[in-house]
Amino acid sequence: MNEVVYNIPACRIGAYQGHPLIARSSDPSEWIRCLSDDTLDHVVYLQLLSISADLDPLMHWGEGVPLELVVQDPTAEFPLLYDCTNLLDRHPVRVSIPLTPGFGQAVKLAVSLQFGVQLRVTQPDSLPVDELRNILHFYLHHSTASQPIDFFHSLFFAFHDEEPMTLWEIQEEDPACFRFVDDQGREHLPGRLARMDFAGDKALFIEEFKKVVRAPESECSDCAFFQNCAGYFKWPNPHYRCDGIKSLLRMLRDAASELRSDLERYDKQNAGD
Amino acid sequence: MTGDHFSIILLSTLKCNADCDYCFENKTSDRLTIERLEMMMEKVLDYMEEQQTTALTIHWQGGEAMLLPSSWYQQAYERIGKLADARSKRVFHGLQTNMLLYHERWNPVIAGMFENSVSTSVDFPNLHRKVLGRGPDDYNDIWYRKVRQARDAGIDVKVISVPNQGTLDIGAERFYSHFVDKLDITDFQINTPFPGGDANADTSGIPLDVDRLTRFYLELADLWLERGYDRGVKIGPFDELLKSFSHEEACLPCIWADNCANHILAIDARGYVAQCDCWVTSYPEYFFGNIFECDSFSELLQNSKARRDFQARPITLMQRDCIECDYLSLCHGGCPVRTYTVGGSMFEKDPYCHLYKSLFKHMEEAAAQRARETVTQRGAAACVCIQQQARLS
Repeated sequence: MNEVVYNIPACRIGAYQGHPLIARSSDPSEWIRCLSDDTLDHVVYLQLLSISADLDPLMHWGEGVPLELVVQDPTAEFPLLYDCTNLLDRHPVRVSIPLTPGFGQAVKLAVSLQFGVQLRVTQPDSLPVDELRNILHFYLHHSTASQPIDFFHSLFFAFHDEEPMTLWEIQEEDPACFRFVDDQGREHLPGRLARMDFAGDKALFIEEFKKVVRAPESECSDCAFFQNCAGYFKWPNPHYRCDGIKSLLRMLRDAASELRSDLERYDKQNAGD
Repeated sequence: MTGDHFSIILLSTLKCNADCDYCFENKTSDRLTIERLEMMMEKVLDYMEEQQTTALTIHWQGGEAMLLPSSWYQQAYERIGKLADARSKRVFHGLQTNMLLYHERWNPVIAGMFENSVSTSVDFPNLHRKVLGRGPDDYNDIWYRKVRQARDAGIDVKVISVPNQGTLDIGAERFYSHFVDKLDITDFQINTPFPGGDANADTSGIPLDVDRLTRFYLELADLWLERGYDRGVKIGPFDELLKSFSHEEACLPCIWADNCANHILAIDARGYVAQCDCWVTSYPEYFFGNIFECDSFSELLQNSKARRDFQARPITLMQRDCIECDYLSLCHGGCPVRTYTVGGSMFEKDPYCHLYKSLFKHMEEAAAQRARETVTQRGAAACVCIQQQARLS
């Protein structure tokens, strides 16, 4: 991705004309007021901050524009996803889910309703890691899991294609590609980095961070997954132990290798046809 | 309703010429006039415009739909077509009938309006379907004769069959042979029975014993896989489940929709609107309203508390054990009318949950087995080819 994508409040669209945008709002009618057809051409996706909002306006506007529904409280909100299924007739939709209690059920229901899922990941302790393992198993092996669950999905294909795509890019937290504009119009680093004051070249932030976390004797220094992880799980606490996360990355890598081998074997067999 | 298409089950009459023991429909002599049909369609088309929906399928039912003459349907087809064309909407039609009144004079309208296809129902053994004053055997005789006539005329006849206690007693082998081998019916669907309407002696055994019914379904599925699948025989829901588990596009029955309230409605000859034909014929407490008494069909649907209950159903079920199910994406708690007629509330999961889970697992394994066989066959064929090439070189 060459141009920086800005995550902005919908009401500030005027200041970012011509830029690729993620336009966020808690009220779909705000998008209708603020976004013209020309602006929609530059919208990467619309981010709805409340899934209990009135979704009816979206059934008759912006057909084809991708939507992200942000779940704040998985336990309380996950059944409300049933009220959002009609959106799929007009828009590609993914659901963004934090790793808080109940997230596993929310992921399962979202996928069952044919929504894509983006997990909002931080530094999970053991309980969320166990739940992540269950979700990963569901994603990899269950025949009814037919929608992408990121970061698993994109990372799986990065492993499969042996591409150096990082979790920062997958999670839309690479400052070289994404920026967050707050409600007051101030520009920040994206995602979990937004609270950080960083005066340097934002495009070089990840490269600088990688040097720091990959210091000699550090956990990252001999990590087999560093090329794709790039220290993602060392933010904000650089002393976070990645044992649980590594087991997940191992599952993904091994599954990707298995698929690659199976496809190579299948191609060889068919070469004889 | 959603997207570019929605469906309406339209009961053109509430009168019926059959006298089936287990029928739960409250029958009256009401029938839809062409004038009322046009009024109804204007409101439906208004609704489609508001929702930006481009296509509608009307599933004509009754009572018994053929109690209105074929000329009525011809007129209905023309009037609806004209109204729809004026609004750039497309309307498709399907016909569900007991076939007892079929005659060759129906052929032109079946060909034109219903794309030369009809859907009908019969059970095996037939314990409950009758005409007034006569027994099930007479019903069978008339039905078989009419279906043969229709098929001889080139009409595609799809069949729905509802297992009863006798079906479980005779078993899947005889059931399969009866339809496929004896009657040459190669496109049919099995629906689970439910005790609709007021309880009576004929519904007291419903729902059927779930374990026995499950065994019947699985045995029938195996028979179809073994003997029918490669011959082009279609048995719902097995064929669509196999497609689903093979990651092909599948059309699963309404009982397994994420929420049937998003996809279908029923309107009867009096204009009452409800979730489906099961509801509009039996449960007035769950009517959404009357389309002839509202200014706007949209407002009728939006203001209906009964409809909100249907929309709320899966939200309630997901907060119980349905969320733990491996097959959540296929089922979503099953059918509200099956739940309501057994338990008195729609806010429980389908009483046939165990059957559905067993069937899903069975068809999932069948799809995986077929996929393995396909890869093995291709691998074996490739090996033979490579060996041949090696000998030639």
